[in-house]
Amino acid sequence: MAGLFDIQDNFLSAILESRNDAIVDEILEHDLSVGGLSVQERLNIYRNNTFITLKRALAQNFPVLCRLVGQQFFDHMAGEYVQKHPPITPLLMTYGVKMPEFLDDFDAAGSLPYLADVARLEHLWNMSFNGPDSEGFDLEELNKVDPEKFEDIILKLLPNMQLMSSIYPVLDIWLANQTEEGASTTVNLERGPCHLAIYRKAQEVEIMPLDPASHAFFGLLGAGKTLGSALVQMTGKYPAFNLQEALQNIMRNNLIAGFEFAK
Amino acid sequence: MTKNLKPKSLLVASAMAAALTLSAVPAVQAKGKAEKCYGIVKAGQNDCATATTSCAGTATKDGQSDSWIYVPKGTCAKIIGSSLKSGK
Repeated sequence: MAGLFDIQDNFLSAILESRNDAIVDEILEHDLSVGGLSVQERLNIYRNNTFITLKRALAQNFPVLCRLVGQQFFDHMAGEYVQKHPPITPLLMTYGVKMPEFLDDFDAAGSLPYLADVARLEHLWNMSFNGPDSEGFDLEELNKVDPEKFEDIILKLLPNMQLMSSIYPVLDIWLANQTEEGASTTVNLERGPCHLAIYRKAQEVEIMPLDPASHAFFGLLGAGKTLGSALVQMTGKYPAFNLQEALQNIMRNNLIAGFEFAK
Repeated sequence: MTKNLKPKSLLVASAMAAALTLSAVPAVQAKGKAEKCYGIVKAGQNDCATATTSCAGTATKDGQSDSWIYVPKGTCAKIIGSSLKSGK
């Protein structure tokens, strides 16, 4: 008799790879074949449910992707995704983390090279939507700090903030596909790259387009750099970077969740 | 501000001070300032929605292979400009 791990492994093959034979004997051996349906039939139903449920979860997590390629194409694509990357947690609300890589290797979508980045944006949107809440922050707290210590401050941006860059105008693509009407908007890929911050304050996820320098600055803050060391790195790479404007943008949009001092 | 700060400290200190002063608007007013952001409320529904479909498989045949079409037929037709495609 096979061990539990083998049984689970065989069951997974049976479902994901349509190989009922991998598990039929095991089921018969345990005499689980009661009721009106054969083991084969019941495995087929189980497989159907698995794929329908997971593909529907993907369609809900990647609505723009779904619109872009059309329902039928998406359905097939999602089926292949489920086979290759079945969920590894019971939580389906963020299922699809590997979608960008999957799309990079998905030949049938090869003529749409921006798809992977659209998927990345949708996944980050989801991560932000389902990410931790921000406690709220009062700028007064920063006014109390001795100005000499500002360079040693590590600003914490919203805990659900995600950053991404693409060589394609994915925000335009995303915006054009939010409603049926918008879907008639034409997007020109030559509008070029975009840099985005995706975050949530209350219930609503916001996407903020950033210039390359601000994007890099947000990234340095996210990596836990002090303002002083972030400034040094920024001025080396982006001579036109204006710290005051960047900070004002962050403060005005209430993107600060807190701060601490470098040890 | 203290006179004997190093140049970098001074830069950070003055940038922070100016940003704090200029950003000091009442919270209510500040709320409407996020004009550059795109917020779209999406119902966070999929966990319960998928849970209700658990009996779909008995009624619906999941026609995975029948429905396969090799060409995407969605709004991607509206995304134009091919010069970047060679980048792949």
